[in-house]
Amino acid sequence: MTYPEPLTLTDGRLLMRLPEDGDVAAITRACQDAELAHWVPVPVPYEESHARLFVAERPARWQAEDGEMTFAVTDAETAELLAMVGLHAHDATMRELGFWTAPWARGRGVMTDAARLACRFGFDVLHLQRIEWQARVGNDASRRVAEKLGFRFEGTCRARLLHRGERVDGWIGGLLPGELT
Amino acid sequence: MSADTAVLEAGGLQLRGWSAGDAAGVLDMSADPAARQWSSSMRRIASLQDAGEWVAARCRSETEWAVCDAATGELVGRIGLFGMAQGPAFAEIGYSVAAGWRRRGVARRAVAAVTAYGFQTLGLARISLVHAVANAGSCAVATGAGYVFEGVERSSLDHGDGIRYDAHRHARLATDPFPTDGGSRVNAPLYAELESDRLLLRPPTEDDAGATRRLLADDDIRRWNPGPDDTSEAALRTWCAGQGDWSNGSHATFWVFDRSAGDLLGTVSLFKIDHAQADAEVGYRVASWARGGGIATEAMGVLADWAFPALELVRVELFHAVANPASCRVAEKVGFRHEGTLRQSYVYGDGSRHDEHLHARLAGDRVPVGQRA
Repeated sequence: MTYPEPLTLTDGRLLMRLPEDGDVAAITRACQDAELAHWVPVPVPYEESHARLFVAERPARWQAEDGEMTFAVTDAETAELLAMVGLHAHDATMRELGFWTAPWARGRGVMTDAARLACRFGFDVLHLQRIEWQARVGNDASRRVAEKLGFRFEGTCRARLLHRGERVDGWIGGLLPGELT
Repeated sequence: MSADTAVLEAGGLQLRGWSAGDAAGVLDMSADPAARQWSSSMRRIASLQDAGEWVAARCRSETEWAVCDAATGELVGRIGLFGMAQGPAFAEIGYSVAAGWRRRGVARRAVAAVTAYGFQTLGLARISLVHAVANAGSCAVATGAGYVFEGVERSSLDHGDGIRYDAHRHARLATDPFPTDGGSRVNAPLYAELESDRLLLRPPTEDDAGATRRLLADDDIRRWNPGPDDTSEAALRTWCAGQGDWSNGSHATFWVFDRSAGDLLGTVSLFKIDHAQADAEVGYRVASWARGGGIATEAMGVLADWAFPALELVRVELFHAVANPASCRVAEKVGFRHEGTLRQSYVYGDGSRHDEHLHARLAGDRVPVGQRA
């Protein structure tokens, strides 16, 4: 299986590209947020070395069969880092959408637009047949993004997600070709 | 065998690690169409050599077992715990049973033994069981072994045949109580979609709340089969979700849609399901905009034809107020015979106690011509 080289996606307002060294400081700052850490299993405390490793691993992870294609979501004008969105491979035609939004970028639909670009890439370029969404139960903001994109809620899975060693209940949803809104 | 696989005993079955001598048995198993349908690795087996390679791959695993008849040693199935790299305490259970050994409780016993081993010996916290929606036998095994239904994941299952199947995900946690009935309970379905020429029947979801409110806002429905008192958006979303959740085994409720236009036309429900008695009740509603077209008869026919075999029911009852003669006609057309009239037997939505007709259909009844789905 060969994948397209890392590429840039944009809708004019946002520009999405492979994370790079210059993002380390902003990633580190975003991951200090307690809200983010509650819903996303990032290391706590989150140190700069974590961000550095995360960025360094991205190119290899992009091509790996069980890897993920990660996009740093930036403001197309100011180049400020706003969010992170990724498509994690389950198999050749199914990936899982994952994302977080920096505290300074919330409340203006950044993630809805960014995730939409990522999903469109998933269907149009990767020819996925299913994109899955999972979130820790209670993560209403994540669920709103998923539902705005047309994901259908499919179930609640007990103790399915591993958050820093703790097993938590998870929501699951799916988006099939033709359903992206 | 090279891996150190534990030997498990399970009511006349022996679960043991794979060995090279199993190749011939595996070749036989792989010839079965059902095994090929649900297993991509079995589908690739075309020769004894292929079967030998299949076995060799499993000899390396400590959590894959050959399921054998303890008395004769005959290979009757396979089972394993997979995906443990995902997290230290998670696994997925997968199995299949040889063609001649189905419907004899092999899967149920093997799953119970491996489940216990996974929790008690391996220290797992959660075991998932994922099966194609169309594979109803696995659903029965899952529920029987205490694996709780969590949802329908659309197009999530890849059996390697180019089709992505909708899947049920079930899971059991180490902290869940063991099923007290030993898993012998009659299977209660958790989800079904039924079709007839004009209709699609499926369990409602919270997204059906809007159409449901319009359906319930009708004098006849308020009188004979009302919905919840609270008709706020939030309350109806919760109510619809509850009607679509069959997990307690007591009901199987469908919302009825126009197959082509997608409009909500009514509801049909099998409720008060008593597995020990093998009986249940049915009820229905027809939307005001869908009356006069035989919708109730068609939907109830589909429901009844599905329910008797799917739930192994012997008797299904239908009650309606004597003052509601339209329901009497529906009942008779769908093969529910009038058995008697009960005096002042039920308080309906109008707050009055009504006399009722009791109708019932039995599993062996001849059904009126033209009413079969």
